[in-house]
Amino acid sequence: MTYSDFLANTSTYVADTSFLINLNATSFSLEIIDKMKPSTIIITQQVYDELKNGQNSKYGDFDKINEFISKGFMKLQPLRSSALNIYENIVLGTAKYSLDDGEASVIACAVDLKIYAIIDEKKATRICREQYPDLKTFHTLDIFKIYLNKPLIQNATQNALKGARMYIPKSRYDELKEIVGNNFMEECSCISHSN
Amino acid sequence: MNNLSEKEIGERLRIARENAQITQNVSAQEIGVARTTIVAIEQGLRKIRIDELQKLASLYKTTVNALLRAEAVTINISPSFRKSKNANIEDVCEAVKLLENLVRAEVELENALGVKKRTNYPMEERIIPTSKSSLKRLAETTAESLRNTLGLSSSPVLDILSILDANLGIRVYLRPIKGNISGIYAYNSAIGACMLINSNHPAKRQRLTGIHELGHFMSNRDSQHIIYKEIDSSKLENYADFFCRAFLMPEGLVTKKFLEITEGQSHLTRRHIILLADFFKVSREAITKRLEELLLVKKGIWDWFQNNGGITDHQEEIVLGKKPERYLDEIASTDKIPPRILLLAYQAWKNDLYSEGQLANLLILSRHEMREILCNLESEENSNDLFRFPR
Repeated sequence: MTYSDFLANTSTYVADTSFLINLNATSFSLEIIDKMKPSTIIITQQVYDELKNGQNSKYGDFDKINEFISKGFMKLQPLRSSALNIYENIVLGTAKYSLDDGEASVIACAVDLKIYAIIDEKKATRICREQYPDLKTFHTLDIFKIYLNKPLIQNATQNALKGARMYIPKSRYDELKEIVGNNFMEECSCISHSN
Repeated sequence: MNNLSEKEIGERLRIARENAQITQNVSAQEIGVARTTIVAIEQGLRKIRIDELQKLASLYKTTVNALLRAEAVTINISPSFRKSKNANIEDVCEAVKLLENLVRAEVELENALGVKKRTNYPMEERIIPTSKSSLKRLAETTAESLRNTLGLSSSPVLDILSILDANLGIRVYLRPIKGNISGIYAYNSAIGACMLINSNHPAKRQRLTGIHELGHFMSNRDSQHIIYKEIDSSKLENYADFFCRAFLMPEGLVTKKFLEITEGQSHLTRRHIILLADFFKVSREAITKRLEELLLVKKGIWDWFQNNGGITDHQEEIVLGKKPERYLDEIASTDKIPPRILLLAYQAWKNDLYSEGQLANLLILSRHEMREILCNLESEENSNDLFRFPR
């Protein structure tokens, strides 16, 4: 399925904390959510609690997400009992094969409800690939590319990189360079500049 | 439910509950069970469900993953400190919690990376009940012996962090602590010896605190202990004080330096005190009182200085031509997380052992702070990537 195919569909996503922080850092998160309609974004209770516990952060991530939930732009949804086994599998175990509660709940929710997951975190992406190969995941960059026009994609990406140090895997650097330009790539401190 | 037994899970839950200062009744209410059920869970007699786990983790201000992943380390040194009578109990609890969190993070990351902190603990010198003068002799002998072992025989102690951490393998953390707590020392067989030193204090005070705690480490290793600004006259405290003075200002070296600095002069001046304090990296009061103790100057000299304008920082700056030292370690005092823990965390993230969320939780940082640290360390590594370790 291509990006343009997605534009024709109503999709439901469950978002992890990384995406929400990146979204907030764009400084036009409401516009992005608006452009995603009628697609829905679900927030799990664990992700909500994680943002709430980090609410002393000067970035106001929790306040923003709380506002979106209260206005119906995002949906707060606890894990169903059918998701708990999946959640338990991911959240318990050795550090190498487990994830923190928020990250685990996103995967559990997506697998249970058969919806898409927006996950940036590299270890979470690896665990999805290895243990839940049928689960379709998107990076924040993918969401920007699906729903925004070219100037907005560039703005959103640059702001998320600068403001939230958005993580981009090295395999996507060529793609990133096309979006933000060479100069920005060179100057951005959160882009790895090793060979 | 993962590789932990019910008993281990129960034990971890109990420690987490006690660390959060929550009663079994409150926990029971949270998950809608009787207190006896909580007792059974904590004793490993009743299996806990994942939804119950989630609620309790949230109540204990932690996460399920942080509580129950295999590498998580359970440390509880709080009960020993609640008995302390001198300080505000909230300040004590906060400081102890800080030490627990720092040690927990460091030990867990070490375990995950298969790294073991090297320790080089000298033999403990158990104190037998004895007179004050015998205590003093014992402390001075132990201090001298340790100085020799560390190769310090005729040198002042310049870098106590290296001595404590790099040479002896004691975990040392410099962090701001509220109230009149100078430092905390704790030891158990799982974590070894660890110290938290108040970075709000001047460097010279921090140095005294560190070596004072070293005195406890040498004499009463398996203990938990807090030291305060005010004097505590118990035997162990006396020993630690004697040890501290003898270690930082050994009799032979103090005498030698004193004679050198005052040679040919008839009076003791503020300049002499300032130079000696600077040489030994101790406070002006500490060196003056040591000179009095060694009978190199008359008793009461420090009081005389105090009653006659004192010896000021400004005077020190004039004599030494530099501002008084503020920090023992500029980086350690200003960073929220000690450098070694940051490097371990970065390696764990790079090796895909810990996710960003797991590390943020472990180090009690926001996601933004965690990202900033990982970003900075990655940039640093990339700019210095000339030499790879042949491991």
